[in-house]
Amino acid sequence: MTAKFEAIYFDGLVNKKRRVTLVLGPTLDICEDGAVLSAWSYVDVRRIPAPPDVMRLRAIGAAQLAHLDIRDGDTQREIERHCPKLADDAALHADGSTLNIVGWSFAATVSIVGLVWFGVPFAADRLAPLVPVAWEKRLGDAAEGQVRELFDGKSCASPKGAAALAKLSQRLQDASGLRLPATIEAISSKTPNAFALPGGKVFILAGLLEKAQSQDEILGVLAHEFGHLQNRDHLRRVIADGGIAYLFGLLFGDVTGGGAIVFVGKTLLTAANSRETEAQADAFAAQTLARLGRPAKPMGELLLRVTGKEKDGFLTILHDHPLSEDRLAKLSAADKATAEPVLTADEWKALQKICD
Amino acid sequence: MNDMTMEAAQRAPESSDIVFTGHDDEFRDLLFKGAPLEIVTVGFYRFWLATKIRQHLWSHTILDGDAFAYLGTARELLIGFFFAMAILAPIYLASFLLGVEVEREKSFASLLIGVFFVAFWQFATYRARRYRLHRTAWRGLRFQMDGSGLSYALRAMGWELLTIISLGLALPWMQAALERYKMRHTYYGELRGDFVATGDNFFKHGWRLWVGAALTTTTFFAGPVLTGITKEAGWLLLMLPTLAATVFIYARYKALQWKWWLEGVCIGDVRATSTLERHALSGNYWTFTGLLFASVVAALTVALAIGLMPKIPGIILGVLIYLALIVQYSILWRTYFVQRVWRIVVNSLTIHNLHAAQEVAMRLDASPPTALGEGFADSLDVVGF
Repeated sequence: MTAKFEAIYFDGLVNKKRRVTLVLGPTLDICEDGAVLSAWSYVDVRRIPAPPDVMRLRAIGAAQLAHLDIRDGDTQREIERHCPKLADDAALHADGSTLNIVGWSFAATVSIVGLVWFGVPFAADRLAPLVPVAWEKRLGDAAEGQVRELFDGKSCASPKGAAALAKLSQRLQDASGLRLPATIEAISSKTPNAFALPGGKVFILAGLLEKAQSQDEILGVLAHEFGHLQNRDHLRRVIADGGIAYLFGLLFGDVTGGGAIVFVGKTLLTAANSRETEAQADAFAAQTLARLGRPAKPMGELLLRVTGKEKDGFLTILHDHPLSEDRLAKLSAADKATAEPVLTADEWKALQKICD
Repeated sequence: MNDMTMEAAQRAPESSDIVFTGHDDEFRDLLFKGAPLEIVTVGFYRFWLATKIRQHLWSHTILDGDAFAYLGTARELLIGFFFAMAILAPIYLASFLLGVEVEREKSFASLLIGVFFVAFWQFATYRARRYRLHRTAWRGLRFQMDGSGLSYALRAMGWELLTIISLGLALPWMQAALERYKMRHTYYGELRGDFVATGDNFFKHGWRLWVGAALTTTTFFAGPVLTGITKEAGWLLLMLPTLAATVFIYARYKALQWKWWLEGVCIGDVRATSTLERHALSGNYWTFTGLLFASVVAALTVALAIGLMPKIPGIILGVLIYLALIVQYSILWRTYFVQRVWRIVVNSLTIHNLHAAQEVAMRLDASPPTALGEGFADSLDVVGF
């Protein structure tokens, strides 16, 4: 016995909307005006997503977008009775359950965070020594141009001051055994700071010379910057930052404002990393100063003077330097003063006035 | 019947209804579930949410009794995104190394490399549009798009440069040119698209908005200088009026742009007219602004209260509030910039000559597009729906 039911049919080749009769015989026959347009095997029929109340069917082997729309409840039940694999359609399940998505996202996050936490620093440590010094210098040149524009300061070189600086630099390099020659340059900026660039350039800003109460303070800061050069901290930083940015880029994407979460995560991570490298540079400085027979404590005192008290500050976890109090304590512990100062009193005065 | 009326009957376009039947509540439920899930899945749910949103919008848009169908899947978007990230990795590295070399010549010259990424962004949006069109069907027949993303990106860059130089005056002609390119490469089955609206027409209706925008910008930046009050005080005073003017101008601009675009689009002989009024989107954007403003004020109030709290619970509460703000913004944005606009715009439409789109045959497409374009767009932080 065959029964006839009404449906709407699109053949997926032409956009014509056909009112058809379904004949449920040996196959599902789609008929229009008595002619069979298509015959579907019952095992090939699949249900696909559709508006509520509508049963939408496609068939394996038919044109990709060919489909039947059935609104009548009785017809829908008949189809369900005849077609055994109705609910097998991949499209119905293609996107997985919400729980699945949450689970896989969690796994992906754990893997990405693990890579960022362990993988990236490891890769940076291994890759940085492989970068030729010539490349490092190129990176340094690029950064130097920016520094000069940003600080807008003139290079300072009063003859006596420059001579004192050169002497200081030579003694420091002799004692520290740097892996590449360094050049120290003073810049007339009020900011109390000093920094090194990849390739061996070290800048000291006039603001820091002004704040210093003894030459050992400056000596310590420069030794610390040499520590960064020795450890290739810039290269490691560049490699790590690139890796972290890329990996975190996998998360969030366009969730509005989600970028800020990534930013906070990145800040915490790089802060933690950089606290470590700063501590290493401090240790290098202490070593160098010990070889020169000069005390390490003054450098810690200068830092504390520049930053102010940090211990009771808010959000100390975000600091990219170890707290000044802790650094002072560590440096004091390493203090070994056995030799005369590097510069004479006059030379030190000239160095302090190098920008005047 | 005399000849005159015969001719009039032939000329009078047959018109068909297009309606949006989706309920605001349904869409809200979709977002209330999806937006928090995006946070929980650190963003990976965005592919699923975007797909659900499109399915909702497409399937509730009914032309002449039949709904549009969105055939894309979240999995395609996810894979597209991963491929894009893989392809972009060496590009990022190359741009960094090139940047270093350029910097050595001239400081900050590497910012120019940003231009490359703007062009790439244009390429990505073109490919993303291609993907979306190809996953759109009506009456069992797909939309399609060909043309070259590269060619489009070059045109777009040229026009953008011109628009910047002309302080935005070239914008109408830029949009006309770019829409022409996109629509002439758009197909519904064998029917080819076209874009017939002109930049002149857009300019004629929109030049007042340009003047308004210019006045607002000038007042905001030059006002404090001219009146001699301090910069900070001036900006504080001008902030609210500027915001109001911006919302007003933007809402008018979008309404005008939609109407102009819709009435310029054709597929074969099928055309559309829109009854969208100048102020049709104003209420929508004002609601968005009001809700956003209220939530920011509320968040700031709580943030002040947190300052008085002990440190650790304060931080935890702060993080929670921040996450809530993100969720809320994501919901507001998708509601007022996507669904409401879609509903208002679709319901303003009448389609003409739909009989020209009866019995359209399938167009053979040698290479169906992947979601790679969307992946590029997503990884470059393009917000799209």
